[in-house]
Amino acid sequence: MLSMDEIIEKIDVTRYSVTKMVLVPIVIFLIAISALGYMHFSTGSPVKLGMDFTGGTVVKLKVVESEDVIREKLAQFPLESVSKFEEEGGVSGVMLMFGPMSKEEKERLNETLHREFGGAFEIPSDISGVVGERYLEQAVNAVLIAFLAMAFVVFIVFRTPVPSVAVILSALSDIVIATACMNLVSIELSLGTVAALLMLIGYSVDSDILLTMKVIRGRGELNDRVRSAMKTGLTMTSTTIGAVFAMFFVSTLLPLLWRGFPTIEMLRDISVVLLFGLTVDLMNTWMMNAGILRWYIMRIETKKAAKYMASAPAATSSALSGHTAGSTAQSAGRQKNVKRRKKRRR
Amino acid sequence: MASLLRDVRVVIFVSLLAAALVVIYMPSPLGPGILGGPSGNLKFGLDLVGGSRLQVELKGVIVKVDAPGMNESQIRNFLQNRTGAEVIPVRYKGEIMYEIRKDITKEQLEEILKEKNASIGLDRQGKPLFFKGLTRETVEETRKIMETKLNMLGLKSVVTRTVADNIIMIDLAGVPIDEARRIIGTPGKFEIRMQTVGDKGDISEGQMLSEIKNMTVHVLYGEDIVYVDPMPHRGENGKWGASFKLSDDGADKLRNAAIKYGAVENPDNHELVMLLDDIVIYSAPLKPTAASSLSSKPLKEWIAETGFGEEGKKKAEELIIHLRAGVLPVPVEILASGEVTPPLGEKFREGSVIALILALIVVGVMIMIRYKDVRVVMPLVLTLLSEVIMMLGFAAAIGWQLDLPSIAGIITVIGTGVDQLVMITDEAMAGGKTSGRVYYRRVSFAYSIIFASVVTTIVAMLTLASMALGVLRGFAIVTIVGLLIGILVTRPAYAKTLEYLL
Repeated sequence: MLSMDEIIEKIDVTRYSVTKMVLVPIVIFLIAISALGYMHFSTGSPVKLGMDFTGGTVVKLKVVESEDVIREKLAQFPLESVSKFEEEGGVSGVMLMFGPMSKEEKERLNETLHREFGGAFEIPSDISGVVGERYLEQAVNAVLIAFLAMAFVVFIVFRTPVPSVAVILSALSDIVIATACMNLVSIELSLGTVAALLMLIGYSVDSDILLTMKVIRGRGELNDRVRSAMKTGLTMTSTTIGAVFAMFFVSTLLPLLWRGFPTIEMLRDISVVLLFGLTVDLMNTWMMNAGILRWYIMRIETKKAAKYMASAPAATSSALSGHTAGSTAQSAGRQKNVKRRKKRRR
Repeated sequence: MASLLRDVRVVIFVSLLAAALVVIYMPSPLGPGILGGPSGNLKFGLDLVGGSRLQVELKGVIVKVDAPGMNESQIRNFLQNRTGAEVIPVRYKGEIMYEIRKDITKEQLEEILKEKNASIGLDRQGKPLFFKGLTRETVEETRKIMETKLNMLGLKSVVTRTVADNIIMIDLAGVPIDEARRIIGTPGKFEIRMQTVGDKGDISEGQMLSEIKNMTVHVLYGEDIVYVDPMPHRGENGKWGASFKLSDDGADKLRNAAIKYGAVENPDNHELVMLLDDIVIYSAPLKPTAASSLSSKPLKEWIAETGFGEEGKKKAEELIIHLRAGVLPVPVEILASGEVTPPLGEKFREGSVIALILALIVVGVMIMIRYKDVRVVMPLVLTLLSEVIMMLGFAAAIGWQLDLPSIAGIITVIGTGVDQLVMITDEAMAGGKTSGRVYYRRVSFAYSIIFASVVTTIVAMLTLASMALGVLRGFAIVTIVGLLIGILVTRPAYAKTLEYLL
């Protein structure tokens, strides 16, 4: 079995063209955007909104009646879904989810439930549509503000447009693809998933900033710089995935393995979105961001090289800058040669 | 080793860890500590112990009125008559505005104001001054009344907090939600009874009507109380009390009962008992002076004395709320309610503990696979564990209730924590055995990356914490505190330890 170090040693970022490295993540990003756009136009919202945001009422009925009978008895109410539930201690029944209702409607529902099913019901959760709207507005604002603030911090850190935009684009792509994945496995937008998306902003820039710093400020061959960043970055992301997986395991898998252990929805929402986001982040950081940075470094070095050639005789201002420019000119030249060779092969 | 333990970074780390453990486990005003079991002084939120949560909106508007030829009290009376709600003039940014304690739309109000050729006043930018919401004092008063009413249930804990201009969040440990909804939504039944048999002190607060029914008689109900002074009254003797007025009818009823059952001659054995929702909230004999004047004429103005000092004042404030039968000053609507049953809460708590431990184990195993070096893995995992303990210590110290979002926050902080420790480790190990200066340059490179990512995450979490409805505040606060502990305390100590070990 190869160790991680050995695998990373074999990775040569210059072997793949910048276009290929960037194109794959961009295409996936665009597919995710179109999927969200499609959802938005067909349902009015890019993700399915959960009860936190639409409002609604959950009723736990402790009766053994078929779904059809229940639906018939409650036909006049906005009953959205009926599912079975089972708790430890042999309590079982059906869980009813209702859409948002007015105060009067809720009172009528209460009466109807008493009449039709006796007192054998609980209302574990009830959120009015007004609160839902307010939550949604605040959630959208929170994500937007957090994103802008992140972009601002990133600009302050790098003070150069291309690397900053690469980091921001990568974070944006993480969020967009993670959101599209939510639709794929039909997880609704809840307060928990919003928290996860915000956290994703933080996790996403972690590895991107690491990569960018190493590539821009590091020394030595570009390949070595990327490799060194990758060694650290992959460890980081995989351990984070490990920690989040623990949350996913307990909230989602444990209830499947251990009957009677409840699904912890808040933790499930947060962990699933983070798992998607972190996995996508691997691609966005090590393909898209690394690709853009490679293109950027090559461009600077080519420019510097050209400038150095033009002003070579007068370059006495500083020995150090002269030296760097010289070495970068070499590496830029080498990369050009690689390109030329590739072209010839075609 | 000794040099390591003398290093200021390590000293701070160790003392903070010790402080966290002391806060969590020492029996103190915060809680029973270790005597309370493995969770020590940690407090758990509703979703981890079971209970209900209500979000209540207070209905009302604040508006400026331009009414030519009308003074403040005329406007107030006019609005009060036409809206049928209580109207209070308030000062807001130097303007006189009116708080209307009712849900009323701008259009409805404009319609009413037209009758007097009045209109909604404008601010300097020409925007109408009409807000949905209430003054802070009104919201606070309502919150206190709700809390007092709910406390009467004898619950384990009632936490109420104002989360927006007009929204109050109420957490009730161990109450079925239906009961909570009823208590908030409806005023209580207030009754005054008079003791007929037994001696002074036979009846005490908290008794049920059924226990004292045979030794008392009914005197009057809450509708006979026409006015309750909102401020506690301090008598010449220094005792605090609640002062209230009875209707003519009520005063007669009280006098007749006092004469009929002998309270006038023997006040001590004929205590006046006040009940709210059939629970005794106050019981005390008539004052001899009051008893003797009752024999000649009915008394309308009464003071129920509650005692001396702060305690007496607090009791008076509570009694005032009860005397008003818990009627809230503003109409309220329950916006949202949620309930986690105690067995479910217990399962959630178990799940949280498993998730936390599992997260640490998974991270430890992955780090072991990656570095294969105990000198790295041990300090790294111990650092993460200490961070978790420090976060919990912080929660215990400020009495923060850990809820599911907080647990999620702790686990995500383990995630960012391990990221940062890996960065430091890789930089520290990159050059092999190096001199101190090179080591610091490498570690400070890692630090600059960590700093940038911590700032970004903290900013993101601040926006989450500022979401007014505050359900996820626990997640945001725990994450921010965890990141700060990390960057200020545990990272420096870890870097120092690693330097020593490598």
